[in-house]
Amino acid sequence: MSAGRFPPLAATVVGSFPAKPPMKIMEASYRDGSDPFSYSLEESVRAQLGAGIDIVSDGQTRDTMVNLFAKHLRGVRMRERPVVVREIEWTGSITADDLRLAKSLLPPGKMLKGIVTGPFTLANGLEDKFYGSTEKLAFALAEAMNKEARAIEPIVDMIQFDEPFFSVEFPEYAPALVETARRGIAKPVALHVCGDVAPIFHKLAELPVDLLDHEFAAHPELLRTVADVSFAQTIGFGCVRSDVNEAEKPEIIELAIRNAVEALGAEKIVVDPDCGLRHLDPAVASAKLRNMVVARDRVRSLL
Amino acid sequence: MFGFATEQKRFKVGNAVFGGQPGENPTVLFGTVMFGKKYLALGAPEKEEVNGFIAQQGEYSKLTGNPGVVDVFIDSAERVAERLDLVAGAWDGPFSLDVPESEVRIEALDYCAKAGLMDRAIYNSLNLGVTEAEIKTLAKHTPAAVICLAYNPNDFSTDGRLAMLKSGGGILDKGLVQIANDFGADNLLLDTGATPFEHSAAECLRAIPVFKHEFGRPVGCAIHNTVESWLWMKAWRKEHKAQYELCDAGSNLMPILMGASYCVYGPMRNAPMVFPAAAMADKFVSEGAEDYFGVAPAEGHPRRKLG
Repeated sequence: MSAGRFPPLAATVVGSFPAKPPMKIMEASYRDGSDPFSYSLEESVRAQLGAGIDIVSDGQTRDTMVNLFAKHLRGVRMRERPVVVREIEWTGSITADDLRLAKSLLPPGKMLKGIVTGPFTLANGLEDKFYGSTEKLAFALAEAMNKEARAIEPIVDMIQFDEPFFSVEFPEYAPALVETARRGIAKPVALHVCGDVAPIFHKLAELPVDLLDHEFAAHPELLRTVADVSFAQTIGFGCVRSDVNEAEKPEIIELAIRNAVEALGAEKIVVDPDCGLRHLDPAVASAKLRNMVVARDRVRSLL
Repeated sequence: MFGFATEQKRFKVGNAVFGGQPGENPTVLFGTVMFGKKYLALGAPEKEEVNGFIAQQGEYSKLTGNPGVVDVFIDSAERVAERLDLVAGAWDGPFSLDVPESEVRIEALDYCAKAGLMDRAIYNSLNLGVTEAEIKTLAKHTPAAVICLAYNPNDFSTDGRLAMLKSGGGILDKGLVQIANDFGADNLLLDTGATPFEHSAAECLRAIPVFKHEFGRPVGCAIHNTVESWLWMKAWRKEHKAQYELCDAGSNLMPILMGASYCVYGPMRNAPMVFPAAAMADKFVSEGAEDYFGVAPAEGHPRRKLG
């Protein structure tokens, strides 16, 4: 995979944004049949654009990263933890409508990221009562998520697979799983893995993706590991924390980005928060994005 | 047909008995009046029409034994007094406050309290849009029964609907049942929350026995809303009014078979179709319940009345 498929130091997000539909709208939706989450999607996209984000997401405001997909897959029975009761089947695009709406809100020059929860993370988020092994379930989910990725590819500028579970366990079949999920996708593909990926970064660098996205704010020592490994991908440089409900000052973020540029080169980096911002106060989430873009602009001006 | 191991609570509002095992009490039927633009200004013809609908529902109720509730649609604070006065003058039985806006629900509660109507008022509904001001008013003026609406836009599955009642479904800090108990209401009617086709419409029906099992309280829904929101039907019905009305009224038979204690069946003008059909379904359920579970129908049940 090659770097250079993303504008150097482009600002993006990992995915989720803490926007909720207004209560009045939620209540009214019972009677008028409207979709209250189109409001939270719009709020999320506008917040990202307002902060100056270049590659925007739909905000993933509809549900958690597992339920968002699981509840639309045939073969999954929704319970507190969704249960796989028979063969997994993708029956139609899950996120295409949301992405079309998000795209309609973007001014010229902005890009849209489609986000698909990765098969290994989904497999570990579901209770399996059919396949009998995580590996078999994961590959079934990889086929389903590949169909989802193909369905949204015409709408978006890039596709990101979220595999946070890789930092907990990196199975030997991970490369084949990623290959299956991204098969036939021509647009740039990113892989987001949060947590401390230093022990597995050399393996992640072998994966067939164009961008590797990780948490460098929560794990600053990761930069040294990454700099020591040979890799072809662009790095998604997580430079603000997603688990601290307080916006970092631009100076702090600027220093982190400058360190990354020195270690890896500006052309190898896009900047984003460590992870999704779902758990933060909306004002804090917006401030983090704004400060990140201010910091990125300062670094760019010095290049 | 279902029988539940969980003890099933029963309570009365006016002559309407809610709850119990399926087959025990006749299904209570809520017919809605004054929904739609036609009733924005209530002139003499509209009032006469509403009075006629209420009288007609009463007659069909006497015929079949299914208690009727007048579901009063109120969409603004200005219309609270006029609409409640009209219903109170035409009907001495239970009525429900079918009010979309929290502020208007508060106004309607205040008015019912002043007018001495609380002992036959059913609150429709306590739902995800409940406000602190509304809860305070409900604590001060607690109606005879409260419908808890399980609609959960985060999750249309049965579990999602259940979560709205039990925990707030990630939207409220507490479940609606707990909120109602906290302000002093125990006569609760659980509404599984009809959703459109392709929005897990069937879960509204599946949730009926689940809620009966989980809570042991009377459960029902307004399943005709699913028919009303059906896009294909919206176009087709323009040329096929009778068939549409059959579907709209007939939809109410499904919750009855699933164990519902009540149906909010739609426009009250449909009472002549809905009451006999519901009575028929009640007869099926009662016969099955008695044959299999030994549940005897109450006095006045359609199975006793309509040999």
